[in-house]
Amino acid sequence: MVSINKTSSKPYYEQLVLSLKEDIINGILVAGDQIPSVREMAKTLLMNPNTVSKAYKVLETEQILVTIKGKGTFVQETDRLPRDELRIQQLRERLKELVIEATHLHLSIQEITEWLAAFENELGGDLK
Amino acid sequence: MKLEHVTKLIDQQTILEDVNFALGRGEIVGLIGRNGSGKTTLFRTIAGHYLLDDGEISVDDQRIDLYPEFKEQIFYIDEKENFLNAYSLKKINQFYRLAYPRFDQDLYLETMHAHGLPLNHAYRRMSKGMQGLYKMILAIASNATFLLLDEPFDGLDVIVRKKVVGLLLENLGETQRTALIASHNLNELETIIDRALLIKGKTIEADYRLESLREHARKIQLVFRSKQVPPLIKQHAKLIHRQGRVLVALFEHYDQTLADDIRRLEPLLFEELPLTLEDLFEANLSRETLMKG
Repeated sequence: MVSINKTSSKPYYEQLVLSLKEDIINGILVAGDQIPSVREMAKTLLMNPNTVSKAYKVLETEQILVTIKGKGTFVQETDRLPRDELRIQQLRERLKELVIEATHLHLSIQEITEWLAAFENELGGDLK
Repeated sequence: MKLEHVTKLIDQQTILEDVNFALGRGEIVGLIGRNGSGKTTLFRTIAGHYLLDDGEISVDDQRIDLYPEFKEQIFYIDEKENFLNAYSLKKINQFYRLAYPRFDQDLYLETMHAHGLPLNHAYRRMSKGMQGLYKMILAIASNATFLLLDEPFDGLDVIVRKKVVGLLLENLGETQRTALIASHNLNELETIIDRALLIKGKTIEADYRLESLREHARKIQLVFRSKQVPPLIKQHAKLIHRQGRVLVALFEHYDQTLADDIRRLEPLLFEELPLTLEDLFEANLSRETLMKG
């Protein structure tokens, strides 16, 4: 179930995007599932409809969700999609920033790798 | 809707002076300010209950302050002069159908039924929660383009409050209708509004887009060796709290460069805290600002 952390410094739409992605990884949502409309989601989360709509748009551009007119919004089959090299590169940059921070905190690369494995395990995903 | 240089005097006292702002279609906007800062006067002025002393209010470049027919596009219930008290729900329903030609009677009946409200009951004999719910049902069923809601969550228990907020979001979502909500319940407003207008000193002092604020602004707790507030902090931040050497400051445009500059001042403590609407309220509206302090 998606939820919003008001005390986070992340914008709400980003939290919602991340939360839905997490639900997909750990199988709460699977390809073909219909997700609530913007209105319903706004009502359930008691959140601004424009924020919800922005999150949906981001997920649609990333081809994670698809809206079929008159039918609703659905989770896409993502396995068949080609790798998005641009976004992979952006993620790589973010990892670099984290490694810089981690080095300053005297973290070893081994610790970081262990954490990554633990997170993957926790989410039940299959990074290959 | 656009307000330009709106000024209102009551008994020779200026209550609103040079108020300027615009409301976009489909936006939910919070109006926040201290008690007595002019929120109700602003609502009454927009709703046409008061004549303007200066300035103009327009919708799609048409002066609504000059043409009373625009009133059917604006929904407003005056909390202090609430005429609903004298009538039954059935009578009130009739009034609103007359006042708002696009009144959605089906939606009205459906929501009344869904929330278990009786169709014929004296308004004044309903509980505060039921009254709150009823007013929101009238607001959404009116089909007015602009909803001016004065403290719609005031005095409601958690369950009714969630119903009221849910009704609003469900019926306003993805439409071209706009809500301007005055509330002291900042916690509730925080998740539902696109923008927050801060009213202070007779005018709109600040206009925040909350999602971009969450991205760019930071609330930071700082402790410096000296008791003096460093000029860099004074220049870039508004002070929320100050207790001895401990400063809690709001940086509206925070970035890496600024963070590095602060680090160079060698703070003893430098910690990010979650930023809330309440912080914006305090940083702007309490007297203790860095400029004056």
